[in-house]
Amino acid sequence: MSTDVSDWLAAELPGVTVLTTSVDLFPYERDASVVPRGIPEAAVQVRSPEEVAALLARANAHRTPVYVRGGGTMYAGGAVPRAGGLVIDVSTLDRLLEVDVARGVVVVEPGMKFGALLAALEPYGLTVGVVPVTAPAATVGGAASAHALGTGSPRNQSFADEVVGLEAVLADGRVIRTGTAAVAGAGWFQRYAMGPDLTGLFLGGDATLGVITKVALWLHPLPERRTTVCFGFPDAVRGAHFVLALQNAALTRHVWYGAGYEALTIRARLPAAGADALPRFCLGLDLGGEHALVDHDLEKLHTLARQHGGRDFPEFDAAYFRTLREQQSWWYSFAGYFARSRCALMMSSLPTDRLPALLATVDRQRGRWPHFTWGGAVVLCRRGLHGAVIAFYDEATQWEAVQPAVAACGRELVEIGCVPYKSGKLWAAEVERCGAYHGALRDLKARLDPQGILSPGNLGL
Amino acid sequence: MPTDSPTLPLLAAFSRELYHCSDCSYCVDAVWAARGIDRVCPTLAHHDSRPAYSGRGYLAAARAWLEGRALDEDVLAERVFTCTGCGNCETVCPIGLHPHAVNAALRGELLARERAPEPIARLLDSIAAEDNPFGRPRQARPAWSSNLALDLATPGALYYPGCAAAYARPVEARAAVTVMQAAGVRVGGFADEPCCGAPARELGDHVAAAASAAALATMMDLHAGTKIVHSGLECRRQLQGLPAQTFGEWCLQALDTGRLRATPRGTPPLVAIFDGCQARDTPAAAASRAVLAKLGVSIANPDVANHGVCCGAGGGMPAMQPAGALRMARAKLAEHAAAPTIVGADVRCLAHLDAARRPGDPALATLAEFLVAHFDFGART
Repeated sequence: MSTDVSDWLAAELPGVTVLTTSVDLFPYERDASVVPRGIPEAAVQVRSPEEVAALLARANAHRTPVYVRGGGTMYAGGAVPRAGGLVIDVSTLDRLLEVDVARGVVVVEPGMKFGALLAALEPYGLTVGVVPVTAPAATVGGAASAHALGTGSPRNQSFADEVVGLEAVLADGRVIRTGTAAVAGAGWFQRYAMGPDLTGLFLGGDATLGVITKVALWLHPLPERRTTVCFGFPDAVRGAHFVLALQNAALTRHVWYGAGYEALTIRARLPAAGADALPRFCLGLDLGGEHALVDHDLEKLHTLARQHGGRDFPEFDAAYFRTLREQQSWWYSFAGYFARSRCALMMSSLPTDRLPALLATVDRQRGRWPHFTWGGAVVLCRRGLHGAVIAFYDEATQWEAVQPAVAACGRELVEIGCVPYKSGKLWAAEVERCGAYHGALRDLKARLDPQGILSPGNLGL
Repeated sequence: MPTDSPTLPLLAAFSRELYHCSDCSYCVDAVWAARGIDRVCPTLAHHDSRPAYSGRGYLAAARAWLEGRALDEDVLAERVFTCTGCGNCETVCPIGLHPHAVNAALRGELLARERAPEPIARLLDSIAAEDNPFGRPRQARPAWSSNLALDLATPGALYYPGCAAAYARPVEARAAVTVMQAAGVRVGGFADEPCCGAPARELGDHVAAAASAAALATMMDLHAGTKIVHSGLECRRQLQGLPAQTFGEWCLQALDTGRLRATPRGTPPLVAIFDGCQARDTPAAAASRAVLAKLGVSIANPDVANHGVCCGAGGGMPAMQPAGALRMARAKLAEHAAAPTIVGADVRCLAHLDAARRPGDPALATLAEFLVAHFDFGART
C-alpha cells in the first residue's frame, strides 16, 4: 500500500481536511519541550471520535506513524513527531459533553481547555480536582495522556486519580470505554468495576496505546474561601521534615496548591533583603475550603512549622506566591527566565525525604553546566512530591549543548531516587532502563499496536 | 540557527525573540476567565482553526524562513495577510513576545517579494493611486464636509476624519464637527486631506506608510500649533508627535472645562460599549466611556473585556476572507445584544458592523453620532 500520507488520506478519507503544506505543518514540529523538532507529513484537525477511529484504522493499514497533539504545552516532547507521519490534532475536539451534577461527573472531549472547563463549571459552584499550571491553553486530553499535576495535587495527587473513565480509540480503530461506562448505557460513575482498570493504559500513556476521545472527571465543590501562606525554613532538610509531617497529618486536605522553592529563587524574588536574613527553603501553600476548616488547618500548619524550625514568611507570600495564585499563572513563575530563553524541564516523582537531594542535584548542575541557568522547585502532592529541575537555555545558540546536560541530569535524578514523571520522549532512555516494567509495556504495545504506529518514541516504545 | 539574515532584514530583527518562544500556545487559543479572555485569535475562532493563522504559527513560519527551509511563499502570504491584526496574541503572551509585529515583518518581506495576495494587492493599489483603501476616488474624500461651514482660514482646531469616517461613515465626521461647532470651536480642515498611512502600515507596506505620514505632517505644519481632533483610531499612531486627540478625548475635555454643555432630549437609551482592538486600553476608549458616564448614559457593559475578539474589520481579513469577517461581525453584534444601541469607539469597526446588521440587531453609533442623536448642545457663555 502507498506510504504517502497525503495520498492515502485523499483517496480513502476524502471528507477529512488534511494539512500538508510546510507553512501549516511548522506549528506541529515542536512543543514546550527541549526534544528535537520533527515535522510531520500531514496533520488533521479532527472533528469527531469517529474521524479519529477512521484515521487510525487507515493509518494502521498503511503503517503510518501517528502523533497526537492537544494544546502542545507539555515539556516532555510527547506531541513532537519524529520526521514524517501524521499528526492528529485533537484541539478541535473540544466540546463539553455532560455535567452530571447528581453523579458528580463531567464528561468532555480531549481538546477542551481547562480554562474553558473551569469557566463552564463555575456557575454550578463546581470545579475539577487537578488543574495544570498551563490551564488557559492546556487540554484535558493532554493532561490525561501525559500525567498533569498542579493545582489540586496536594488534595488529590495526580490528574490520573481524578479520572472516572475514558473513551479511547485503539490503533486498529476499535473504540473502547473504561470504568463503568464499559457497560453500554451505564455511563461513568465509578472507575473500578469489572476486572482490572483499563483506564490506566491510557493515563500517562502519551498516546502509545490508544488515542483518548472522551474523558470523565470527578467534580468537586468550589472552595468558599481561598488564602495563601508561606513558611520559611533554615534548610531543605527541615523543610522536608515539615512537609512529611503535614502529609502524615493529612493537612493537605484543604491545600489546593503547594510549592517549595530553593534559596536562589527566594533571593531572586526578595532582592532587597539581606541574603543572611532569608530562609534557605520556602513552602508556599494555597488553601481552600470552608472558612472554619481552613482557619483550623492554618493554625495547625503554623504550629507544625514552628515545631520544625520554620517561621511565617509573609514577605515571600506578598512578593511572589500570592500574586501568582491570584493571577492563576503558576507556570510563569519563571517568566523572567523565559524572556531570555526556552527551558528544558525534567519533572520527576520523588519521596518527600529526597527533597534535599533534589535541590542538591540542582546545585550540582549549576557547577557542572554553568552555561545554562538552572532552577528547581517542588510541587506538593498528597503523598510525595513532584520535583522540577529546569535548565534555561538560548535555543538559537545552545540547543545542541543543552542536550547532554539534560540527559546527564536525568540520569542523576534517577540515581538519587527520583522517578520519571511526564515521560514522553524526554525520559524515554530512563524508562527503558526499567527492564521488567518496560518489557511489560512493550508486550502491551505489541498486543494493542502491533504495527507500532502510535506515538513511536514516547516511553521508549 | 540564524541570528542575522541579509535577505530577510525585517524578520532578522526578531531572530532572538523567535527562539525564545516557550510554546505555551496562549497566542493560539486560551480561555482565562480571571483575565476576561475567552478565545484569543479571531481568525481561528471564526475562519479557520489551523494554527498557521495564529501568533505561534507566524513565529514558526518566521523561524523556518530565516533558517532557509523550504516553504511556499504564496501559502505563507495567504496565512499572514488574513490576520486581523487585533494584537490579542501579543497582549496574552506571558513573556512579552511580539507575534503581531512578526506578522507585520512577514508581510513586509512578502511585499518585498511581490507576494501580496490579489485582494491585498488591490487594496495597496487603491492606497497608492487614490490615497485610501476603499477603492474610492481621491476627489470624493471631501464630500463628507459638504454644506458644513468649516473655517479653513483661521481655525481654532483642525478636524481630521481619517479614511474610514471620510469614505465609509461620513455621518460620523459630520456629527463630530457639529458637536465641536456647538461648543464654539472654529473647526477647520484640509483642502486636500491626505491619508495618514495607517492602512498601508497595517498591510505591511512600511515605505508607503512612512511617506503618507510625512505628507500629512508637512500639511499639518502649515497649521503648526493648532489642535488636531481626529475620528479614525487607526490614525492615532501615525499622528504621534502632533498635538492630536481623538474626538472622544476632545469631548471629555470640553465637558470637563465647561466648554461644551449637553442636555439630553429625553432619556438616552441603554448602550453597550464596543471599544474595538485599536482603542483597547487606550485613553481614547476610556474617554468615550467617561463622556457617556458624565452625561448620565446607562452602560450595559461598563467592565469591557481587554481581550475581546476582533469584529472582523481589521487587517487583511475583510479583503481576504469576507465571509469570515462577516461571521466575526455577527458574533460581535450578538455579544453586545444586551442593549438597544452599541456605541463604538472605532469608526472602521462601526462601518463593518453596520454592513453585517440584520433587522432586530442593536442600533450602531459612534460617540459623536450618539451625542448628536440624543443631546442638545450649547457653548459656555
